[in-house]
Amino acid sequence: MLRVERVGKSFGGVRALQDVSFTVPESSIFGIMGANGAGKTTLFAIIAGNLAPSSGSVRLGDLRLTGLPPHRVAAAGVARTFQIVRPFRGLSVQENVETALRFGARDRPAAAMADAAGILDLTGLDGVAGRPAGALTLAQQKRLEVARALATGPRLLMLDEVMAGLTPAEVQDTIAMVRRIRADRGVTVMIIEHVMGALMALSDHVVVLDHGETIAAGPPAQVADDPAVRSAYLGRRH
Amino acid sequence: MRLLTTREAVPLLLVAAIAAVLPLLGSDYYLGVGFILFGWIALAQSWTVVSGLAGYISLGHVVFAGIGGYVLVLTWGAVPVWAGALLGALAAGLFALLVGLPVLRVRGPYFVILTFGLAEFAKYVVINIENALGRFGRLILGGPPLETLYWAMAALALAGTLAVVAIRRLRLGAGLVAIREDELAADTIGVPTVRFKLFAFALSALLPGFVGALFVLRTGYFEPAQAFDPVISFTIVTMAIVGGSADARGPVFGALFLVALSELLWSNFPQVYMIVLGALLVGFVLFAPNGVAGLFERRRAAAAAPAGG
Ligand SMILES: Nc1ncnc2c1ncn2[C@@H]1O[C@H](COP(=O)(O)OP(=O)(O)OP(=O)(O)O)[C@@H](O)[C@H]1O
Ligand SMILES: [Mg+2]
Repeated sequence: MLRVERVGKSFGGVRALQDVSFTVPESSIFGIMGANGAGKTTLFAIIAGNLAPSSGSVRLGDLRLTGLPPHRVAAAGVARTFQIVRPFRGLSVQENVETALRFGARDRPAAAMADAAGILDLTGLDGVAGRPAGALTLAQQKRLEVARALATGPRLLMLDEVMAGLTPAEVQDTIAMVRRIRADRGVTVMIIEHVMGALMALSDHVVVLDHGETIAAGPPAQVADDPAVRSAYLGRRH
Repeated sequence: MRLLTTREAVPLLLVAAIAAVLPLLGSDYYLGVGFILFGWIALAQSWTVVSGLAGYISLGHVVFAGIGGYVLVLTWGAVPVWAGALLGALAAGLFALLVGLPVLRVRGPYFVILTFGLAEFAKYVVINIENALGRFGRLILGGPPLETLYWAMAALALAGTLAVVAIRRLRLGAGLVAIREDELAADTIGVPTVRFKLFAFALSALLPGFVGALFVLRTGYFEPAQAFDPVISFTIVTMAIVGGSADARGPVFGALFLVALSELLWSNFPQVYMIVLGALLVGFVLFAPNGVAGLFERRRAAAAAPAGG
């Protein structure tokens, strides 16, 4: 459903992405791996329209996303979370979600969440619905990122390290939550994680970035065995 | 949904009640004070749309009132009075649309300075035009009587209050608040930020254009340095700081407070007035950043919080 075609991005002299291409199949869970600074977040920002690529393009079905402002990308059914959380701090958790419900995708899938209660329940925020978002713990704010993105009624949901800093039990909860989002809503999920085990367990496909370049792509088992991945990624980080 | 929540009903009823009661006191003094009060309420509510809801703090809102007043005197005699005032409002809105796109690209302190500079710039443009024409102030004779102006201004105050109440309920209001909280995140969840900001800016210019025209009709003359006086912009911001600007209550509280203070102190102890005003400003900024309305909110929240929570 999503096609990333030869995308490149430079920040001054820094090449954050080079010639990255892949296709995300409909209703899949698509993992993105890579060491710190590999360009993962930059990739999400380009897909969401927050950054313009230096080269290449992104398409969602027949629609060319590249060049559209973020709100048009959201209207097309693409949502992202922010690795460095950006909640609407002065608003309550409930209001954060309600705001996203009023905007977001133009044509919501039939199964899309239409009520704040269901989304807060799914993301485990029902107990803090009335609290100002700025007063939440970081783990809760990460879940609010997911809740707000879900509330836009996306076809494609991009999760940027929503498990970082969570306890193993919370990681298990989050894995279950992502599976439920895909199963119940048919939402396609792209997910960036440093938690290797979680990513391998969840994903149908994985892409590995290293210094902005794709060094491996395929089913998790195959990617985990890839010698290039072992030396470039696992070798350096573990 | 309830027809009106308390925070919506209070400012609307307050404005309506004051408007109904003041004429009963049977003196032009009270009509005059009411006229000023409603003028400030209309200005502060308009300011709230772009600065309170969207968080783009304008320090040049007088420019819209100035334009309204100027258009009124320019069209004086050529069109009926109310048509002139309406043209003033439309001109102010059009001006906001034209300058909005570039001006609203900057945020935070830059926007504050830019709006201030823009208003000063407009003032000097008008001063120079008037000088070139050899006009030093324009007199307006035969405007509507005070009572008529009073009711017109009361209508503007009510319209402004109603507008803020309505906008806060609309998708537009939700989007503006999201822009205030985090513009990038707002854009990413689908808020058309550029369009919403521009629309809010133009909306927030309309009533001030009307108010400026009424001010000119009341004083009977137009003088650019007075019509575009930056103190008017400062006063609007002061009212928002004192009253709050998160919803329609703040501007009403703030305007009431400042007009009462100025009526009590200004005529008798002008120096004391400025000192009290300064102290109040500092006090509110430090201890009640959301104004009087915010204080109510805090007490409500404290009362609602479970014990020990
Ligand atoms: N706005 C920016 N300006 C300049 N350089 C940037 C900017 N954003 C990212 N970079 C650089 O681009 C590279 C890729 O950054 P990015 O945030 O995409 O990495 P990442 O894979 O998400 O890393 P992490 O795992 O730490 O989140 C880094 O070298 C980073 O310093
Ligand atoms: Mg990142």
